[in-house]
Amino acid sequence: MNDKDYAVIIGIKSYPDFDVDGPLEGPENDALAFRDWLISPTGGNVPNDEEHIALFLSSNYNPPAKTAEEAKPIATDVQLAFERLQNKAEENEKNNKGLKVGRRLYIYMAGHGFAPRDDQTALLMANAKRNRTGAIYHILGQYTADWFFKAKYFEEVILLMDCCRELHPVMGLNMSFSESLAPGAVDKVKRFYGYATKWSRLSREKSIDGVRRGIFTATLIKALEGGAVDADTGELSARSLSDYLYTNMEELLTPAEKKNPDIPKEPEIDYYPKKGNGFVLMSVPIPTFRVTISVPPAAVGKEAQILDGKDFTQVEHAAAAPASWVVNLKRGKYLALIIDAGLKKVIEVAGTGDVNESL
Amino acid sequence: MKASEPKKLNLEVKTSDESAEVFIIDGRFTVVERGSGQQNTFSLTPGIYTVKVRAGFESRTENVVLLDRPETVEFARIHFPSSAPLSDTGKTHEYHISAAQRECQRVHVVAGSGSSIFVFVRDWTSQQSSDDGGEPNRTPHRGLKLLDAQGVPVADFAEQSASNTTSDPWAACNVQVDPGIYRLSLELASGDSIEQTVVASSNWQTQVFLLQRNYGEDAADRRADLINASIQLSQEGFNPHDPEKRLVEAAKLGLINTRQVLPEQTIQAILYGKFKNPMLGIFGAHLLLLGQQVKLDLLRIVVDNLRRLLGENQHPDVEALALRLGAKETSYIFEHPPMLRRSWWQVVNATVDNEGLVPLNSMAFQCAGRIWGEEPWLQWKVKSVKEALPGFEILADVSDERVELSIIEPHLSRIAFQDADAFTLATDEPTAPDTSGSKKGLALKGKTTMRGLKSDKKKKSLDASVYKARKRKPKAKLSKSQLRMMVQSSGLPGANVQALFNEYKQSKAASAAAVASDTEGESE
Repeated sequence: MNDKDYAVIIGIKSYPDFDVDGPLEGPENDALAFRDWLISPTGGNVPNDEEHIALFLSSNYNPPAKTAEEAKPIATDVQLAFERLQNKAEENEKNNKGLKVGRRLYIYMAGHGFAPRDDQTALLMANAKRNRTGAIYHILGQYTADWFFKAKYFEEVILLMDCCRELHPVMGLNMSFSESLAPGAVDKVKRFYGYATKWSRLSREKSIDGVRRGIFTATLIKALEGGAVDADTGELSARSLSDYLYTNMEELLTPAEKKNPDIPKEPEIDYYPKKGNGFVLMSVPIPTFRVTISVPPAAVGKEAQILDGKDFTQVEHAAAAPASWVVNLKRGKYLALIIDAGLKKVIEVAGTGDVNESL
Repeated sequence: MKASEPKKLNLEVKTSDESAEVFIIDGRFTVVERGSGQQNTFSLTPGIYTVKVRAGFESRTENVVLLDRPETVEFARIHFPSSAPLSDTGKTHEYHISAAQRECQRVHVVAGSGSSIFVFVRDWTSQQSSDDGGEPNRTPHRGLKLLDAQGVPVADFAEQSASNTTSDPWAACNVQVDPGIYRLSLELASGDSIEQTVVASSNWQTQVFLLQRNYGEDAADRRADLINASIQLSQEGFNPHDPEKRLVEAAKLGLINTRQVLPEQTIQAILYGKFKNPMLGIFGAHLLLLGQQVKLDLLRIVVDNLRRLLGENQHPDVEALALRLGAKETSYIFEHPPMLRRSWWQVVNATVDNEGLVPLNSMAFQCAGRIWGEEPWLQWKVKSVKEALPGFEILADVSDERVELSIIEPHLSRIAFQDADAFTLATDEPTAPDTSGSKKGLALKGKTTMRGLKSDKKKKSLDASVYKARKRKPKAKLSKSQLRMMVQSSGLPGANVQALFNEYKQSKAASAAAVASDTEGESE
């Protein structure tokens, strides 16, 4: 159990005076999916209690607010969760445990957002309106993550924001924490910041497997569940997660959506340190995926092999290929060969699920 | 070479796009190499690779088995969508191309001489959309006007364009104008308008190409798509095969994606003035500024080239770039905003040291708080009912311990100064040397000051007695560090921030006077 890890998760779907056509459907689903991964023993393995996970969902507040004035959560609710972490660090210092909280801080935010400037993305709180977006109506993701990064209250800070980043200048950003820069923080604290879209662009949600989801978060969860795990080391690193998100986000789009310039195809990712694979987020047993290869009748019964696309070592062999050849492969690219039948094909195991291929 | 190192093989990637980005993804889905331009050769260990080529927002991939010999993979030109009807781009019909070629040579409106602004606006519907019964906008030019710098209409495109409303409709209007600043204005169905600057340069034709966008759900909400406008400069009419026009589009998309997409030879061409379309120089300069280390010597060459083409102190986007070279590199005053959003940021940042760059109550001052849309163009929204600026409703909550001030600009959004006096107090104390010019530098400065306060047991910043003392000596102006902080956090020019602060001070003084008056009344 990673009891030194903490998380603040926000999923706001209901903005009474913002969405005249009804609530967003995806943010809560996304926040819950992230929470589920976080508490999973094979995922984040964070204790599922209020001390470790502060979860803010629109549906936690009942009855649903009809006006922005009544809507929750608001900025102070979320800020209190961050302040509790600050208080914890101060308590630890008093108890001679050092001015720190734990190993890793996860900050996950989904809902309506905007980018007041190129280095800041704000998640709007439930009481925001189209003309009420200033300091008391938003939480700044990077500012908050940077604050904990610089304060060195954690060894690692993970920020994930699934919201729009369109430019909307406001005076008086919500930068309410007293500045703190701990010695050595910049050299020792690691960070991973992931945004659903490029700066100034919009993020999107869509129905995925019948459930409304943010495209970024849906891809992220697949990555965290093993898709982005390095098939050689079993490590999910900042680099492997980044590469996975960059290369797989558009896989959830239809051809028409891929052609629509208003739909983001890539996230924006920044991690530190950048050297090598960055830092390791988790190590897990290397996942394998069921691959079913349909062999044409003329090739059935002939010798078949599958070579690893990294170095062409043989990973699977069948002295007599069946019509439906089922193998389990790690995430990666492979070359399926039936030399006597003159067949070869590249098979991609993207790590997003089982694979069906025809030779 | 060590004996244990595997033999490497060449993988050659050929594209037909000067602006193509190339990614090599290995057998474990890790991006192992990157390149750009039409020809790239990568030395790789044997394995299966995916070659990904991107142009604009479009990409193509191909798997390559690099087994025992070098391999070459070729990609055809990617037809990324463009608002300009260029060959080899998406969303283009032959009849749009020929109409643009023909109409840009005609003059539809005479409003001056020495320059012209050609607007070509069209709709494009996909086969799928047509099959689904989707109808194009038969009046793609509705609501579209050209205004002069003062907002006086110069051309009403809905009335004065040549047009064809059959198939996918188009409308074209070439307005002969005096060189100078103009505003392209689009009235929406709601009555609100979106505006952006269009610069007419001497002996150049500014060409604005627009597709359509749905601004709402009604058919009437389908109007010209200003966000994805293609703006070109030309002295030779409209050549749909001009590779520079395609490069301008690719550079524009690169800027949106914050990626330096232009290949080295194009950068060199830009540096040595071997380009005919100044928009390529302007976009190229902004792409240069995306780099981690900004090469100011290269930027200077581009700015010099652009001034040679467009004139010194004539084009706001060129002079905005010059500001990056130093405050004294231009004497241009930005009465009107530049065309590009990134140019505007250069101007806004420079107003910390020179508030006069964006004069009080100028057009640029007025539209600063109304910015609308996305990159790359700077656009602002104008409400249907004219409202004078600054016209702020001020809500102040002044207590002994904390000051919170919110200013509601009635037609845009809430803008707020929080703890403005605490900031003032903090920066009154000795601080580290000014590290202006860098956002991180600013953060460090604030940190130094705030940590000083934090370590002070009296907590001076929020202490009531100190605040009261502070109130006795109000400052007329924000300090430079405060101004920088607020300019950077708001994206508003210095003059706007100072004006808001003055409003705040006046409001505070008025409420203090009212309190004093009440107190006197009670004591009597």
